[in-house]
Amino acid sequence: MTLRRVSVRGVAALSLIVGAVGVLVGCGPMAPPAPAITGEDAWSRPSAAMTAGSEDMNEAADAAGGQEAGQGATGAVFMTLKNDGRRPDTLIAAHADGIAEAVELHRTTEEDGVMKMQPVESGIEIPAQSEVVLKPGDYHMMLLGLKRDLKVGDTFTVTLSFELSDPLELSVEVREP
Amino acid sequence: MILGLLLLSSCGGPRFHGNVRQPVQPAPDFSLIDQEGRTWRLSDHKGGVVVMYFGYTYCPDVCPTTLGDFKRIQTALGEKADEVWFVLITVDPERDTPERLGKYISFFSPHFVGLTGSVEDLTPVYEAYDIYVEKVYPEDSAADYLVNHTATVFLVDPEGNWRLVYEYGTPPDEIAEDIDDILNG
Repeated sequence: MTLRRVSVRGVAALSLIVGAVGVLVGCGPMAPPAPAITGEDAWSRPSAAMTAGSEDMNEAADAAGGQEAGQGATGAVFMTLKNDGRRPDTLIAAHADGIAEAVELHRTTEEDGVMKMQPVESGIEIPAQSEVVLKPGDYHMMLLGLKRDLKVGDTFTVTLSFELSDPLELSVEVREP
Repeated sequence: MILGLLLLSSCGGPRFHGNVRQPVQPAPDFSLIDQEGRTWRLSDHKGGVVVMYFGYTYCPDVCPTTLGDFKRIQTALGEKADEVWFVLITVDPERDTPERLGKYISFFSPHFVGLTGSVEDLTPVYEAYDIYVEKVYPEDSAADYLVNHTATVFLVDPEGNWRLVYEYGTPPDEIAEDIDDILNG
């Protein structure tokens, strides 16, 4: 009988040890303890900048009282973010200087056939030893106020800021999906 | 009796990928302004297939995905695409002037049609096609506003009937097959 009376604390301690061993075995000694973020397959669709060569449109935007980012052309950047580390990290911001007035993290959701797009205020978490895919109809980086046309074959740079990791620069390819 | 109906419906013609609207009824007609500033009336386009989508140019994700799909459908149909009108009807007339629609559309195909109009002209069209349109002003965003909207694609056949409805994300190849079946009669 006494053998069965294992304390809760004992079970917890045992599972912690088993868990730790599991992590060590499962992830291998190479996985760094900090987040280790890399980006792959960053792409964007071709998109027309609305302001270039169009005085009327600029005037219309001015008349509407809007900022260029709020009235200009938009685009979206998609990619796969991988975290090979043993701690989660969160993508909190992105910049694409020279391409867009602003870059925001957004997510598209569907409800009864209605598509809704909302800024992701808390950022996009990339769990430890996992990946997050930014893809059409889901998470994406919205480019606001495009400064020039994005044409197939063009590339541009986005800089990603994370809660823990250092900023990451990625080359984005403009292509048809 | 029910079995008979089932048999009829499954054998009475091509089986479409899209949701078939029953009974077959004329597509609600409308008259709007195209990207060149010309009047564009749906009922003037009988004899060809009209593929319609409601969206807006400020939309970075869902609308370009659908227009990219239209381009794929156009490519898949080859010469038969000449008998198809691909139409974007704006849910954002405030921003979408004919000029802006023209620039946006031309990035996908010079043959696509972009339609706008006054709120008074557009609202009955949204209602007729059961399109939900909601302007939202997100906090912490440089966007002045965004527009939540129904993202289905509609197909009007050469007789002017509103035949098929496609949910967002329907593979373009499937829509191209349906159009091909309809054009083949």
